Amino acid sequence: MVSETTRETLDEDWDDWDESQADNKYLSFVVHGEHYGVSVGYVSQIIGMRTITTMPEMPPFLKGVVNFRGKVIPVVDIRVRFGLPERDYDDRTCIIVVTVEETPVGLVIDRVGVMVDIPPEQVEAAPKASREYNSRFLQGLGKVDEEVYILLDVEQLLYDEELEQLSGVAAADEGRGS
Amino acid sequence: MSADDEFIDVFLQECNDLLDNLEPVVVGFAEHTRDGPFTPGEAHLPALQEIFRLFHSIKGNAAYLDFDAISTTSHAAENLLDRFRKGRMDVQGGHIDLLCQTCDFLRQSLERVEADRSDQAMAQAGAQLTEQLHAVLEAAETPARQPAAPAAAPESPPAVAPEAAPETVPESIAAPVASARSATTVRKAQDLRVDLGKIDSLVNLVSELVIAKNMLLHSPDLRGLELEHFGRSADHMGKVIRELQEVAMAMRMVPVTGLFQRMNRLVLDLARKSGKKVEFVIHGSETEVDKTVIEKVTDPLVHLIRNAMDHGMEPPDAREAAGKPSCGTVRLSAGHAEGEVVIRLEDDGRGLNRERILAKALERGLLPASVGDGAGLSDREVAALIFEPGFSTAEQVTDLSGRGVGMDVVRQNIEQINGRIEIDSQPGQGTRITLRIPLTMAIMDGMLIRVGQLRYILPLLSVRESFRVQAGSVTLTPDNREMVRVRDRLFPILRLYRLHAIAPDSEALEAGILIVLESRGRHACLFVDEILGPQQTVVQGLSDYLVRAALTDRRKQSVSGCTIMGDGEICLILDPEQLLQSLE
Repeated sequence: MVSETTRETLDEDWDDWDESQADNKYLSFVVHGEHYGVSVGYVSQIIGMRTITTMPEMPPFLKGVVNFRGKVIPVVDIRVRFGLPERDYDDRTCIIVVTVEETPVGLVIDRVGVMVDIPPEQVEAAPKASREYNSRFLQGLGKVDEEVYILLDVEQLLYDEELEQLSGVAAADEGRGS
Repeated sequence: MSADDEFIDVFLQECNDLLDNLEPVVVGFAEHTRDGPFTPGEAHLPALQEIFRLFHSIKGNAAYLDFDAISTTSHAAENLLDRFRKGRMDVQGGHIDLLCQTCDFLRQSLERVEADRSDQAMAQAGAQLTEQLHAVLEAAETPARQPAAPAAAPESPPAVAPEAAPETVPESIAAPVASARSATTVRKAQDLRVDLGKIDSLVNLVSELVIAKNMLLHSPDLRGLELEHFGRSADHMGKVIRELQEVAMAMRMVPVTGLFQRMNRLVLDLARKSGKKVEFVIHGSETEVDKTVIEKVTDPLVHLIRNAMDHGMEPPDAREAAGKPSCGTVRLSAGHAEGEVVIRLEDDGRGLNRERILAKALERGLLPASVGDGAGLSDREVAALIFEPGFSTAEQVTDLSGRGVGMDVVRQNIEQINGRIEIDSQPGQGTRITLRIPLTMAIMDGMLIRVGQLRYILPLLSVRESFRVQAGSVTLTPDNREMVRVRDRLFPILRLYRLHAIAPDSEALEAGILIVLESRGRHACLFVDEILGPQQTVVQGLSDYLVRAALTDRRKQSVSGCTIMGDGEICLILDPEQLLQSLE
């Protein structure tokens, strides 16, 4: 069963995580009623909601920047990224700081769950060639007891080629075909 | 090879140091060969001894670790030096070239060793160079300057084992070498080698400390309290932190000597290739600048020097025809002024041609419509046009200075470190290019402004003045541009809230304030709600992710970085140049 981590214990440091244990371990969280998981190898820290400073000239899912330990890091709203309906942030809304290619990025999620252990044999491949456009961000579906976790491919989520397209198209309309 | 990695690292550090010392002496020596070959005399002995000693030390170090390519080649160079030193051979320009090549070869070999832990990959290049060095030695030997010498033949063929090398060094020199070495060891005891990464993290931590201090002092818990003792302690802490910051910054400062020496070689090289006669004069090479500044300024300087040598400097006969000495002068100087590093490159060449620049700029469509044919532009503004992308006045494309890409990259690189370029030129007299770079890139003087809920920082460097607009002084042009009169000039108005799609306090110009911005000779008035005052900021660059995700091309982003304010909130730093660009 998934018990929820309370806000008080959120700001613990994740940096000391032993990478070798990180295999099979996922941090779970909830967005729009679904349970998700990201490999803990990517997770630097979970921080509470704080003032997001809007950045101009950015795609809508890029909510802005926050002050994370004296560093300015960008924040991506998972709801907007997945095209889910937006909702107001509440006291359970959190930011999971993931680090990809040495660049920390914050992910806004509805609420954070516990760490779950999902061995590879319990992970089913993501449905290929799905009409669902978001399937590209999926690493697979993890089953633990009765719960299904949507395991996110963080690198795809952040550095999808669509990202380049977004900026490319705006810069030069005649860019790619179609 | 069984040698420990640690040994190799020490070897690399030592050899790089030796090379750093070696290159300038070799280049300095090239000076003497400008007027043809010469026989070294008493006066040249110290320099020759020094070069000999340095090659010898490199050879010794390399032989110890079995880096054969390095040791054999430096051995050959050492032999050549030995001849010079003893006055048995005239020094020619070609010889110095060969020694320079040897330095380059050694530099590359060290890079290889760093990557591969072996100099095998350089074996062939080393053998070639060694052969050339030997050829020079033999050529000097055969014309029988000293017929007795061939019998002794201490100049070993390339096959000689590096171990044998020390024996070819006569006793008399071995001693001074040893003593010179111990002298350097003593001097080194006061320096400590620290990994640059460690210094960087120290600087970062200090920046974070500044932010943490500000957050503490502006804590909402303290609001409204009378705290006399706290205030005093806080002031004290502020002072200590400021000092700490200065010390940390100073650790990143290095003299520009190395950079200038490299440029010296470049000038000599270019002069030889183009058949021009040039004297290179260096001033203030002891000036210290941030290490990043050196990195960022190297390529631009190379470009500027190539340009000066190719376009600016005339061939000797043309110079004489113009009544100037046939040997031109290129002067490179550095110094500190008003919190900035000033690097200046001057030549006494033909200078810039205003008419040609204007004609070319018009042809390429580089002039903003507002200036017409550019007749009203100042000389400086015209000169600045050569830094526009796609500008080139070279009638022929030469090997030396490329095809008109470059000058705009020069400006870009300099602006990346918040620097400015100024260019002054007198036709027929020469050109002077001045680079002004802030002492540190980490801290910037800015002006804090507000639009609606958002606060921004404008670099103070580009803020000229601010004023409240009077009803009736704004003209709306047919193409819907708002122009405002500032004394005798008309400037366009840029509404920041519109550009960034945010809600301002008021859209009425009379309710806010206009700030006159200048960048590269162009002006505009930025409309904001309020000016909050000057602000010193610790600059953070934009996250790579933001640069990739941005909807606009990175070169057009109007936000160049951010900073964390005393209350922990983030403030965006505006890029005046891109703001002005957005009006085009």
